[in-house]
Amino acid sequence: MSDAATEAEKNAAPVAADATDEPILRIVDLHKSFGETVVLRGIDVDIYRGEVVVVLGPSGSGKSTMLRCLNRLEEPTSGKIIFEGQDITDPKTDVNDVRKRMGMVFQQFNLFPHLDALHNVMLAQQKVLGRSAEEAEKVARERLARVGLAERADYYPDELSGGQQQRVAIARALAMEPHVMLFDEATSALDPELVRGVLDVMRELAEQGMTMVVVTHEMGFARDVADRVIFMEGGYVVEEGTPEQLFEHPKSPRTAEFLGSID
Amino acid sequence: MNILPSCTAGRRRAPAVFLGVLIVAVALLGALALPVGRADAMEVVKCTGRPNSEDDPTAIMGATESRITFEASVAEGEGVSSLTLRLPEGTTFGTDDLAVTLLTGDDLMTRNELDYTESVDGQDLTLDFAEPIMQQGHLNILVYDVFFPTDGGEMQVEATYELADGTEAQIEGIPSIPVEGISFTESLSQWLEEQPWIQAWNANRFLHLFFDPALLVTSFPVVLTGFFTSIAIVAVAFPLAIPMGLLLALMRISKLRLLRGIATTYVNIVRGTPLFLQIYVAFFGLPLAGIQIPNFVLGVTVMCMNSGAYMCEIFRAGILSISKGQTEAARSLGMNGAQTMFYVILPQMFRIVIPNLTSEFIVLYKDTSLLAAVGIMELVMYARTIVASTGSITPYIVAALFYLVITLPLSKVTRHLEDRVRGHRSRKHAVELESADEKGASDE
Repeated sequence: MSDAATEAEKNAAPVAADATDEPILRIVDLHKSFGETVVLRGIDVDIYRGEVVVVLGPSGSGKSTMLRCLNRLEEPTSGKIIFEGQDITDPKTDVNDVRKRMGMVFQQFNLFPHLDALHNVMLAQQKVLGRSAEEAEKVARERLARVGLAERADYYPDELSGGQQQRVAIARALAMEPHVMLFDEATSALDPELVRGVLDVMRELAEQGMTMVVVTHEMGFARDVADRVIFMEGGYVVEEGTPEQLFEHPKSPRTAEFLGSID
Repeated sequence: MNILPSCTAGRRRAPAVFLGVLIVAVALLGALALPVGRADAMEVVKCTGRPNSEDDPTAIMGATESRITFEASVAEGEGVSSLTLRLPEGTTFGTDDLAVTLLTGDDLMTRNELDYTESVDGQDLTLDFAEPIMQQGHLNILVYDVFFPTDGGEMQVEATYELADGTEAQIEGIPSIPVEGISFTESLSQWLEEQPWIQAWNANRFLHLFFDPALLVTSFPVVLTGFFTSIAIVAVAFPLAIPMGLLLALMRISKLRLLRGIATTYVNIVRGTPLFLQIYVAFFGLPLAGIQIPNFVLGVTVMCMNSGAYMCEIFRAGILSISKGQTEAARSLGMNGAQTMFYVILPQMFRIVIPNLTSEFIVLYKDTSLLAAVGIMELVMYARTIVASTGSITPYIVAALFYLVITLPLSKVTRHLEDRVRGHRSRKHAVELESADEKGASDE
C-alpha cells in the first residue's frame, strides 16, 4: 500500500498545473469524424503530471471519443496527441508501447469473463511486460488489495457485483504501472449504491498523485477531486477552469445551463 | 501284420535294392515303435464330419448339427465282437439314427446289416455285435445328431475293439476332424432361428424384412467393423478440421484482402456444393490425374476439408459474438492483435462454440456414410454387403442403430451445453451485493 503510494508520488508533480512543467499529455487541434458525422472539431488541451482533469458535457458532446483518441482506440482524423514528448498519432509510433503507459477504465468494465479476478490482473503483465507468473501474481494481489478486493482474487467476473468488477478493472490497469489513467464514464453503468466504492478508489488514486483524465457525470467527484474541469459540447471545449470557477462562476451560458440541469 | 502305409507304397515301386533296404529299415523302425504283441484286426479307413456351414461347403462348424462317419477295415477271421468309439470331449451325439453297416465284396459295395446293441457311457459309444465279425470288409458307422463344441478345434475320435477271444486293442492313426469355432453371435442367431416365436415373428413379411432377429444378431459383428472405420474417420478428420476451421476463420476476419479472399472463396465453394460431389471429384478425379492416395487417407482428407469450411463459419460467428469491449480492454493494456486473439478472444470463443462444434461432429459422423459410394468399408458399406447377400433390410437397421448410439447421446449433450452457454457457468461463489456500508477501497 505505502509502497505503491510512494511509487505513484515519484511520478506526480507536487502542484497540479505547474506552467513551467512540460505537459505529460498534449492534445493539439484534435479532429475526429465518423464518416459524415463530425464528432471532434479541434480540441486543444494540455494535461500535466499529477493533474486530475474531469471532462464534463452532455451526451454526444464528444468527450468519450476524445478520451478514446488519447490511446488511439479511435484513430484521430487529424491533429496530434503528444504523450511524454512522443507524437503517438505518428504512424511509426508503436501504439502498444504507448498503451502500456496509459491505463484505461471502461463504462462496461470489460473484464475477461474466462479469467478470475487475479488472472484478469495478471494477464497483460505477463504477456505485455513479460513479468514472471510469480511477479505478476504478487503485483496483482497487491493491486487487488489496493482496490479492497484482496478476498475476491479467485472470483470470476460474473461472481462479482458491478462495483467490484469495476474495481478489478482499475486494479488491472494499475498493475501495468501506467503514467496516466483514463476513466471513460467508469461509474455510469453501476447501480447508485455501488458508485461510491468505485469513486473512493478513484479519489484515493488522485490523492496518491496519479495523472487522471476522467469523463464522468459525477458532479460531486468533479467538484471535490478535480484540479481542472473541462466542459465540452458539440465537439468543442466550451470552457475550462478549476472546479470552483466552473461550478460557481461559469463564463459560458451553455456551461451554466448544463450544470444547472444536472444539479 | 503291421503293414504301414509307407511300406505298402514302397513295395509297389521298389525295384531298386537300395530303396528296398531303406524301406525295410523304416518298416522295422515303425514296428519297434508300436506296442509289442498287439493284434491289428482293425485299421482305420476314415473318420470324418459332415460339412454343415452355410457359407463354406467344406467347413465343419462347432455347435451346429453334423454327422460323424467312421469306417474301419476288419480282417478276415479275427472275430471282432465289440467296438467302442470315444467321441471328443464336449461333443454331443444321438443314437436314434445310428447306422452300422459292414461293407464287403471286392468293391465293398455289398451292404451287410449287423445285429448289434449300442450303449452309451459318457463320451463312449459301444457297439456289441451279436455275432463276432468274421468276414473281411469295412465296418461303416454313421453317428447322427452330432454337435461339436462351439469353440471348434481338432476333434480326435478314439476307437477300441474287442475280439471274440477277449483281447482288446486300440485302432491307431485315426485322423482328427477339423472343426471351426463359431462366434457367440452365430450360435445365438442359430438358436434364435429355432425358436417358435421367432418363426412366428418372421412370418410377418414386414418384420422379417426389416427386423429379422437372427440377422440382427449376425449383422452386428460385421457392421461393428464398419462402425470402427467410421469412428476412425471422424476421430482423425474432426480434430484436424478444428485448426483448419480456425485458420480459415482468422483469414476471413483478417485485414489482408488476399487472405480474406482465399478463405471466403474456399468456404463458399465447399459449403455451396454437396459433399457427395466433393467425394466423387476427389476419388475419381485424383487417380485420373495420376495422384494415388490410399482410400482411407483420402476419405479422411475430404471429410476434414469439408468440415473445416463449416467450422470456419462456426468460429467466425463465435469470434464476432464476443463484445468489442473485450478487444478494447486487451488492446488498452498494450496487448497486440495476436495476443488479444489468443489470450482473450479465442478462449471465450471456444466456450461459446462447443454446442455448435458438437453438432458439426454429429453431421460429420453421419456424413461418413457417403464414403460408401466410393468403396470405403465403413458402416453402411458393411451393412450393404450383408443386405446384398441376404436380401433383408435388417442390416441397414443395425447400421442405423450404430449411428444413433453416437448421435443421440451427443445431441443430448449439445442441448445441455447450449443451456449452459445461455445461462451461466456454474458458480463457485454466489454473487454478493455490496452492502451500503461497504466502503470498497477505503481501507484506511
